This record gives sequence, C-alpha cells and structure tokens, in this order.
Amino acid sequence: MAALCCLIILTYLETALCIEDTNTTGNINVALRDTNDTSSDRDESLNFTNLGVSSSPSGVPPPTAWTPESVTALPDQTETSESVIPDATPESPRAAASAPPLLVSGVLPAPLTDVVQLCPCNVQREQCDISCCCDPDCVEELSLFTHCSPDTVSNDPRLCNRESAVYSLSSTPEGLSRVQTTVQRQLNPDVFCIQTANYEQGLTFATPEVPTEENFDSLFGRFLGFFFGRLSLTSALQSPDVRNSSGYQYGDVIHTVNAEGGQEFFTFPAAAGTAHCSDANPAGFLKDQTSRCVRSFDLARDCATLKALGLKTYINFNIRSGKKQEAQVIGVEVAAITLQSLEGTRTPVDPADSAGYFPVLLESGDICNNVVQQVKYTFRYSEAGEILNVLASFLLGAIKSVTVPIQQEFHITFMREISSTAGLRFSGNPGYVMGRPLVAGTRTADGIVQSTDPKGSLTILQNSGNQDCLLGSSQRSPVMFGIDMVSGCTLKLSDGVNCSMVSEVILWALKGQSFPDHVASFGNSLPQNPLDWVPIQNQTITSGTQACSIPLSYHLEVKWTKYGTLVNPQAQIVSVMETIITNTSSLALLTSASGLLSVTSSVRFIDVSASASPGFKVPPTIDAKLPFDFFFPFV
Amino acid sequence: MAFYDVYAHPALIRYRTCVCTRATLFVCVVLCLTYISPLLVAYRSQGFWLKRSTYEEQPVIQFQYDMILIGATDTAGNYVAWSTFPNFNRLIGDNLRIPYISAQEEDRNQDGKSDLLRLQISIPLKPEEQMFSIQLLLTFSYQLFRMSTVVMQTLAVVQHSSPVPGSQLSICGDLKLNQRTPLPHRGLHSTYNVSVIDGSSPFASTYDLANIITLYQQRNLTTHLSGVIPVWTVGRAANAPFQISAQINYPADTIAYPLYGFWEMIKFAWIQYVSVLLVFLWVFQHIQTFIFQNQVLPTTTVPAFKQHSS
Repeated sequence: MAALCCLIILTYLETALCIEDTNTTGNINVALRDTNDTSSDRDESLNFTNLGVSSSPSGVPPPTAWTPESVTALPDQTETSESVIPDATPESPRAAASAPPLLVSGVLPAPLTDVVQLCPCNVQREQCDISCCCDPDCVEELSLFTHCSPDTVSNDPRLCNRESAVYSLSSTPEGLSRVQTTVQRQLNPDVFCIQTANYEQGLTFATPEVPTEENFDSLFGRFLGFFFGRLSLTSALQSPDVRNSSGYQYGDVIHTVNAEGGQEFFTFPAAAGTAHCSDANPAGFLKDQTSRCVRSFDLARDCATLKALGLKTYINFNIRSGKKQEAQVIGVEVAAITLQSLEGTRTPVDPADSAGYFPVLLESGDICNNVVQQVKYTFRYSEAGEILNVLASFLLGAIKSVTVPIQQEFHITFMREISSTAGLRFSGNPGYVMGRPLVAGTRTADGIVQSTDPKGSLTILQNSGNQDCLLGSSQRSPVMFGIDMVSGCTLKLSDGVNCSMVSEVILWALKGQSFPDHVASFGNSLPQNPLDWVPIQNQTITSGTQACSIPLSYHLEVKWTKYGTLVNPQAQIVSVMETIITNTSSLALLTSASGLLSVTSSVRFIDVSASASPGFKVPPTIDAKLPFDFFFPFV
Repeated sequence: MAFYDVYAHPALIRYRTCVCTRATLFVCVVLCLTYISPLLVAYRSQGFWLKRSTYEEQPVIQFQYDMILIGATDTAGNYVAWSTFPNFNRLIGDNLRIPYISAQEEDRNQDGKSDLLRLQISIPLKPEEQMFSIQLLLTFSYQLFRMSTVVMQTLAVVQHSSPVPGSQLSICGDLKLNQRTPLPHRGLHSTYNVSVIDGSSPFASTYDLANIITLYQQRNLTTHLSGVIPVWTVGRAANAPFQISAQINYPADTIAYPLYGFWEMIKFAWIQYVSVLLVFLWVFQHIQTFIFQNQVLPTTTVPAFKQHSS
C-alpha cells in the first residue's frame, strides 16, 4: 500500500516538474460538443465500395488521425485492434519502397499534433465556417457567433500532460462577440498515463499499404467483408449438373418445354413473404408440398384474361422427363375436373374436354365461372429419376366479386411407378406419432374397411364464416393424434322447427358423413386384423323429459398408453369414446337473445400409461438422505 | 503506589481422560457438530455450489448486408418488396420495388469493434400508393471471443404497421443476445454459423417469413432488437419515397456460462463454509470450556505450570 502511495506521489511530482516534451505525438481527440455533426454526415451519399482501404491514389486522404473508417471497416474481425499497430517503421516504409506513392504530390500530409493548429470544423476553403471559432477565414463573422462548435480541441487523453485548445466567446464593450483562445494544460490523474511517447508509431495508424497488381489479391482477401451485391446472380435454377445423372434428384428443379419450345421450369404457385401467389416458384423433385395463396384481381376485367385463373395455364406445357436436353418430353394429363357451384356443391365432369373449361364472365357481370381453385399434380417417377407421367386434377369454381381475392390451393405429390393407387399411409410404426391422423375404418364381415381419403376418416367440423350448423360445411379437419381440438357452429332456431330433422343434420355436421366405428390401436394396424382395432364406444347423455332433443356437444375422448421400452415408447390407443350431450332443458332457455344456439365439437387425448416399474431390485438406500448434489464437484 | 498489568500470557490447562468415558463421547459429538453443521447450514441456505456465472463482453457484430423488406402499400393487401437475395426478387415478380439504401457501421471508441449501424432506406412509391406496414429482416454476423468462441449469424426483425399511412419509420434499438441455456466456458461454437436465410434456394418456402423466424427461434442463441420505440411519421407527399431510418447499437452483452472447473466452484463454496464455521467454532469452544472448567464431566486437570521435577 505504501509502495503504491509512493508511486502515485512520485508520478505527480514528475508530472509537475518535468520539462515539457514537445515531441509528444498523439492521437488527436476532439470533443465534439455538437453531436449533430455526425448525423449530418449521414445525409451525404456514402461510398460503400470503400472497403477499408482508406485512401485511393487519386483522392486526397484525410490526415491519418481522422480515419476512423479504417478501423471500422476492417472486415477481418478475428483480428483485434492490435492489427492496426504498424509493423513497418517509417525509416523503412515497406509500402513506399515497392509501390507508387499514395498521392499525386508524392507525400502524405504530416500529422498535426499541435492543438492550436488543429481545426476540424474548417471545411470551406477561403470562406468562413459558421460557429467555427478556429477558422482563420472568419474575421468579421466572428461577431455574429453565439457559440463555438467545437469549443475544445484536445490531443490524446492518455498523455499525462494533455493539451487542449479552448475557444470561447466574450463580448466586447460594443456588444459584439470576440473569440478567446486559450491553451489549457491538464494533468492526467491516471497513474498509468503516458509521460513520454518514445515510440511514435504506437500512437498513429499504420501507413496504408497501396494496392498494386501483385498484392491486390491478398489485400482484397484481408479486407473483404460484407457488402451489398455480395450474392451472385447464379441461382439454383441454372445450377451446373455436377452429378452428371440423366434423371432428377431430390430437390432438383423440374424442366419443362413451353408451347414455343422454350426451356422453362415447372412452376408451382406459392406464397413468398406475403400471402400472394408467386408464380415463379419452382417445384422441387420428390418434394411433396401443399401451398395456399391468394390472388387479387378485378373480377369483371380480369375474369377471362388473367392467366392464373384458367385451367389451361396449369397444363399447357410439356415436362422433360430427365434433366438432359435430349430427354423425352411428356405432356400433362388431366385426370379429373370437378366443378363447384357458388353454393359449394361439387359435380365431377368428364376430364377429356378440358379445353371447354375456361373462365367466363356470366351475363350478370358479377360471377366468373370455371376459375381454378385447386390443382393437384401427381408425378410418377421411375427409380432412375425419370418422370413417367404427370396427372393433374382440378377444382373449378364460380366466384363472385365479393369473394375476391380468392385463395388457390396447389398440391404436388410424387409416386413411384409401381404403386397404382395412393398407398396406405400409416400414422406411425408401430405406435402413433404425434400429429399424424387417427386411422379409422368401418368394420364389415371380412375386416375393416378404410376410407380412401389420405387425411383419415375421423374428422371434426371446421366451419366457415356463416357459422351455420344446418348449412353444413364441406371443410372438415382430420383428428390428429395427440392434438386436442375444439370447434363449433351455431344453430338458429326458428319457430316451426322440425326437431328430429334438425337433430339429424346437426349430428351429421358434428360427426361427418361417413363416421367410422373402429379406430386402429396402432399407427400401422392392418385392416385384415380386426382385433387390432378399437371400437368407438358411444355414450349419449340425454334427458328423456324434453320433447325436442338436439345434440349440443360432441366430444371424442381418446385414451392412449405408452407401450414397449422406455427408450422407444410406442403410443397405443386403448379406448375411444364419443359422448353426445343433448339439451337437458328447453331450447328456449338455452338460446341467446338472437335465437342462436352454439354447438361444439371437441377431441381430447388422455395419456393413461402407468409409469414403468423398475426392472431390477431396488438397491438398499441410506435413510439419512443427503440432497443429490451435496458433494457435487466431488462425485 | 498503583499496580498495573506489566505483562500477560494465556495459560494452557489440559484436561485428561480415558478413551471410554463420557468426556470422550462429548468431545466427539462436539467435533461433529462444529464441523458438519456449518456445511448443512451453508448448503440449506441455498447457493452453496455455484453452478452458473456470467460475464460481460461486447460482441463483434457486423451487418451482413442481407435484408428482406416488405411493405404493404394499401389496406387491400397489395405490397412492395425487395431483398438482397436474387431468388426472392425473382419470386415476387411485379411487386419488386428497389429501394435506395445507405448503411454505415461506426466504431465510436475505435477499439476495432463496431458500435452501431446506421441504416437509411428510402422506398420509392407511386403516387397512388401509401405505406401501411413495414417488415424488415436484417442479418448480422455475431462473434464472441472472451470465454468460448462463438461465431454465428443472427437476425434482427423490425415489424411495424399503422392504420394511418406514413412517410417515415424511425427505429433505434440495441441488438441483444438471447440465450436459453448457458454457453460452455471454452471451445469453438459455430453451430449457428449458417445463413439464417438461404439465399441460394429458389423455392418460395425458404423466404416465408414465418418459416424463417420459427426456425430461427428454435436456436439456443438468437439476437433481437430490444428497447425499440418505433416512430411512425404520418403524412407523405405523393411522390416522396417512404423512409426508414434505423440506428442499431451493438452494446456489450451478458453471457451466462456454467461453472465446470473444480476450483472455480470450491472457491465460492469454502468461503461460505468457513464463514459459518467460525461462528460454530466460537460457540462450541465456549461450551467446551464451560463443561471442562466446571468439571461437569469428570476429567483430570493438568495444571498450567508444571513443577520443576528435577
């Protein structure tokens, strides 16, 4: 302690008594009182290409002390600030010997260290800068100044004997301003201040290396960082075929040939960034996807002209079966066309006369018919990666101007040549996987009959904007394993309501058209083994006192357990119970003021698995238990 | 003639006993109580084994000059967009609107680490267009060196919408680190040194903002803009561009790491143990002195000064 005190005292004494070292060279630090100076710099156009090479041969570089960018733009950030410390002394300047001089004049301006001579605000030649008190051009204007900006110019704050020039304004007896310049010498209270700088290069920036033909690449690599336009324009669409195989591989863009024989790629409208359809999206080979995106247009004007609405756009090209130019070209076959009316009823039509279905504006001018609403592509491929055929099925609908923007839906599936139909999709192997649809079917004499819909046949309603149970919504969402769901619709009761018919329609809306009676206990239960299937138990809670009983809620409760080892447990469905609750009191009491009655439908999954019993005898335990991490770092 | 203490020294009194006596048992019990109880007290009062610590470091952050910019130009959902990714620009087709952008990274204290990014974006708009919302994704390169070396690519998301069309959005915030689990105290971690947005992909799903952000948020280490107060300037001349001015600071961040080192953990534990032990030592010393001095337990006293036996 005493030694430290001594050191401090000695340092102070030395500071006070030492002869002024005029050779001290330091970084010049200017206390900019007005921070607006920096923000105004922003408005000027910035030179982005100036990548850390702080000077160019033609331009006049600022004094080295004034180039903070040469540090800021240093792209190789693994280097610390030590990297700016010069490794070449001015006696043997490496750059100067080998490269042409920096400036046309041949010399760099000598670094200014005298604070009185420094004037960073003097930026106009032979003209006075306002509020710049150190500007020698300001003579008469000085009387108009109200403040000095900057008011202090000082040198390196690390020096023990720090000089700063202070500019202040005072008033003359006539009421005019007058600049007073004083040079203040401040003693640095820091014990470890710099008394004498005997190595000047340690306090200045290195002499910049001048790019020449020889060292350009190394300089470029050293200072190259991030910049605009970094990403080259080569996209995966023109990716060179390095694998040299004739067939497509996973993720490859599928090539097409348009009507004019031009080379294009298969597009699959999808949303990018926003919900709007982006027609330029390529489809990747073997990437099954579904996309929904919106199209906004003016119905009356664009109905017949907008290409994206017409069926033709989606089939009027030929697909190259392989990546090579000489690969066979195949067309797109229309497999099915379904027409949808304004009300939502769907009628399948003959896909052969696909040319007859194009968007037409009906006479009323408000309805556009045969607008593509859904496209399903099915690609068949061989094991060599060749596309064998492409099927497209369409849903064409009538749209009104109020339903614009419309949503279009696109599906693409890839199938091996051998599978004739859509293969049975399991929902797990063997146990169910979270988020996969429940496998359900109807029991017949010779096993279980499964629905062909790949989404599964156990569904709950997903109603539309009108919320009416009686209208019935065509949209249903499959029951996914492990995901609890709830949905509902409303029922408007009018006076002359046919109770039994309403009850039937609601039940139909809640359960779906083809409600199965069995659920597979494992994700991969085969329909041939009926014992692997769990019957759906039915429970109707009803009160017989009501004259009119309407189902108000439908609840599906799925109990499942974990089966197998602890490492790889498999989910098995134990029981499925559907509960229908009908009204227990008169309907008039249940309805809201507007006569609306809400009907809900819900699904719940309950894990009933018991915890695993230990497979070996429990080791004897010590009764006086210490917490588990008592001897934490030792054991 | 007054007396005074000219000198003093403590006298050592020994108490002797056999092995199988009550006094031996008492001393054993007291020893156990003195040295084990402080451990229990220190442990039960929580925080005995320090498992996690933090340090502060200013990360090396660099703007990667990659961005996605989407603006809604009317309430019907029309938009303009631009990105530094050529594939994305190709996807959006007619909605492409190339802005004028200026970016500047500044090193205020000249320590070789950038301290802030100034970004000026001006989006030209047609006279019939208005700006209602802005979504801006910026990517950064983020590096930490002090304990473990972390190299990763991160994202900053600016999202603002207003029911009233505006002419300028001003944003000022800090780019802060989000950490779910502590970082190991050493080693190189470049798991997240992959592009947040894969600019080489031609597929639209790559540029789905929800997708990008969901994937990004699954990471252990992410960055976010904190303390942002967006200023939406209302009113715009028909042919004036929409301006976004952003100032993103790169402040020092606090990084949590687990204490793995044995001595690092013991260092904090023994201080706690000894501080409690001192109290117990004092208490039990007094109890023992009382017990033996007053011969509560029978022992043989050896006097302080032995008689000269020669």
